[in-house]
Amino acid sequence: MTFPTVAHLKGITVSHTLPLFVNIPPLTAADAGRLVRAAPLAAEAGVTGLVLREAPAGSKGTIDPSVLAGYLGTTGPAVIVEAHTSRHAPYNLARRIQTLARITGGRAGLLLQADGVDPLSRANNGTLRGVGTPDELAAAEYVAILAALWASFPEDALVGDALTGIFANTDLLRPAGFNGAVYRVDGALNIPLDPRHRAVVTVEAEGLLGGARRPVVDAVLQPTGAVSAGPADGTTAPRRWHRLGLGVDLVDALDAISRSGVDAVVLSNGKGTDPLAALTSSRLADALGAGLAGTVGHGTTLRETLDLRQAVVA
Amino acid sequence: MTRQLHLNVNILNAGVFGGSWRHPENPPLSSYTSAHYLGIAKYAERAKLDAVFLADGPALDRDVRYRSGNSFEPTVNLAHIASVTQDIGLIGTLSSSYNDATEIADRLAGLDEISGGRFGWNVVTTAGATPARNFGRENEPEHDTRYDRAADVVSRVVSAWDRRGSSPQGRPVVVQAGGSSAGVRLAGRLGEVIFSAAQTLEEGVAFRKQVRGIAAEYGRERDSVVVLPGVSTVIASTEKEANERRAELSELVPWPYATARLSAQLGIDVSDFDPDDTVPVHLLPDPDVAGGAQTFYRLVLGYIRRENPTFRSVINHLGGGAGHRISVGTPEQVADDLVAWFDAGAADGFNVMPDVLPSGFTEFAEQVVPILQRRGVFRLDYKGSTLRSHLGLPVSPLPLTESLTNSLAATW
Repeated sequence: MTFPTVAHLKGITVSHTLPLFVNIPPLTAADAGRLVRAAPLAAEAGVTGLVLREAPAGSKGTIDPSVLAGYLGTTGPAVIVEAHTSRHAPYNLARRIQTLARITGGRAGLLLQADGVDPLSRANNGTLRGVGTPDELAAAEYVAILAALWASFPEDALVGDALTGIFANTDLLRPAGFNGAVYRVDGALNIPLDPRHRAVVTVEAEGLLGGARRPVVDAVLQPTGAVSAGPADGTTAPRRWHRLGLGVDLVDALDAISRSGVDAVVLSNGKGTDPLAALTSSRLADALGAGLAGTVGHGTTLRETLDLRQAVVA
Repeated sequence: MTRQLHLNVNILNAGVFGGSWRHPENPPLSSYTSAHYLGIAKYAERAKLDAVFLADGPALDRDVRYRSGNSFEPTVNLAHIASVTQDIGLIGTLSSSYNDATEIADRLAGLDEISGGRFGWNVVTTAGATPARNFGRENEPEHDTRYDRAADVVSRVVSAWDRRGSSPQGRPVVVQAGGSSAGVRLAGRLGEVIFSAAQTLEEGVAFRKQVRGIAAEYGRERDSVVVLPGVSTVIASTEKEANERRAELSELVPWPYATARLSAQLGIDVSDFDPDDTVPVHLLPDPDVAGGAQTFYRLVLGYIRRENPTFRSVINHLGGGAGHRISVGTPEQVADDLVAWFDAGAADGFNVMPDVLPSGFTEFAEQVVPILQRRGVFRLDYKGSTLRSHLGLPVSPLPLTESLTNSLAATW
């Protein structure tokens, strides 16, 4: 067996191994408790991050992934929260993800599912606004709003000068001022953030990246087996993350994947099994133990771990 | 057993006053760290408080140049707090105007379940154009429309919680805080905990009686409503030191902030006047026709009508604070004040808003809480680990709005 080295891994210069994420399906409170106990061990073993999935609309009894991520806090791997545009107004989602980015010191991300416009935005923007707008455009607007909001209150603006009575340097604020075909979002966020801690944005709908108004994202989570992706902003290709099922020989699979030019791996378990099966699998431990995947070191941001640019502003 | 009072700590970022963040007892940027919230919550749990309370609005406060504001999103922040605490209740403010009922019902239920049944939702309708413009609107919806929607959104959320049926406390607690006529109706109809703002004991008695009466009109038990007035606390070891501390906090309020806030509250540009001019009462509109947030407008108006003050004295009186009553004194005096309100029927407990955070709360927890415990009006330990058990509130049916299929909650 040949272990991959940095030369095999496109774009990875910080880590000597392939960053490994574990897919976590929507959890009940009981399973969330198990996750909280397992998460520190996973981080210690080298799991880079958890991809926390959102339950489909109408399903009952599971925990919102942003709430689950808050509950995990800083105790485990980085957290990537899945959210559907059909459910969340952009300002509200931006706040929750920015809160996580601040709480975790830059170890948070978003897996955005572009599947339509949320009820609040639809109602407030007027019934005619955005009707017939292609999903690609709505998605591009959504991602652009997130980027603008996350950059709207730079950490440097937080002054706290007790002597002069200036709490924040409002000259440094950059309100979103977004007026698109679908969304209008005016203001700045109320959560300051160091740009190095900015949340990582991923999508898995590759089709969204093909149009003229494609969203600018950091990474694309690919269907199992696929390895191609178009550039996001004309100059830099988004990172490509490979999705991998648990039912394969992980060590062989990771070895092959590491040669195919992807930048990270997301490990999933099959349907109908224990939702934490991928995380607690001995195969995962074997792969981590073999040094094929995982994260070395703690205290770094998710952006640093993935060698992503600091700020992606549309 | 003697009737027991309830205590929440309102972690209003750096403290209730406009200059709290400048007070030398705490780092100026403390409230922008998660450690601030985790630390206060853990301390509050050791003091056996009912709950921590987080205020919130989905917008950057325009006053941020001069004062700290609410920042972290409450559901994420409370989930984080839940992970380091076991018993204390977790009350978060979320707007009924700027959240979708279906989404928020699931998210809040999940927070309740993951915390072991400790969550309460403080329903606010969110005044002002600034938040409205973050959600595609040009301006805030008209006041009564906001409250109509609030009743529908709460009804849909409560129905969803009942259908979900997995809350460890039976159902998360509905908290309500509006002080307008429509707000009090909503509180009496659907609120289980009422966060109120009364300046005088008489107002407090009247408000509690009114809201319990409205609850009864809707067929609810009067005791199924827990009324918790906000009270700002300024505590020191002697009365003289407490008064000095209060004066110091007034001095720390950045003046441009104080005048801007009063202008917004009164609907007139205060900078047009000399600070020592008497406030012209005849220019101030009646609360029910005034726009914006009415609770504090009523409070300020009441003070102005009583005292006929100058602008400067209004500002010093409010201290750049949230407009809630301020209790200043030694721990014994503050405890006396709280017990007097409790005994007179003006309160079932208090939403405590310390002058500065975290140190002002530490003082309250270490000095005032033990006095209340010695007097037998506050618990020595938790009897359960859900918010409902702390509040002594069984799950009762709420008179929800009808026609939920065609309500404002879905359409605006």
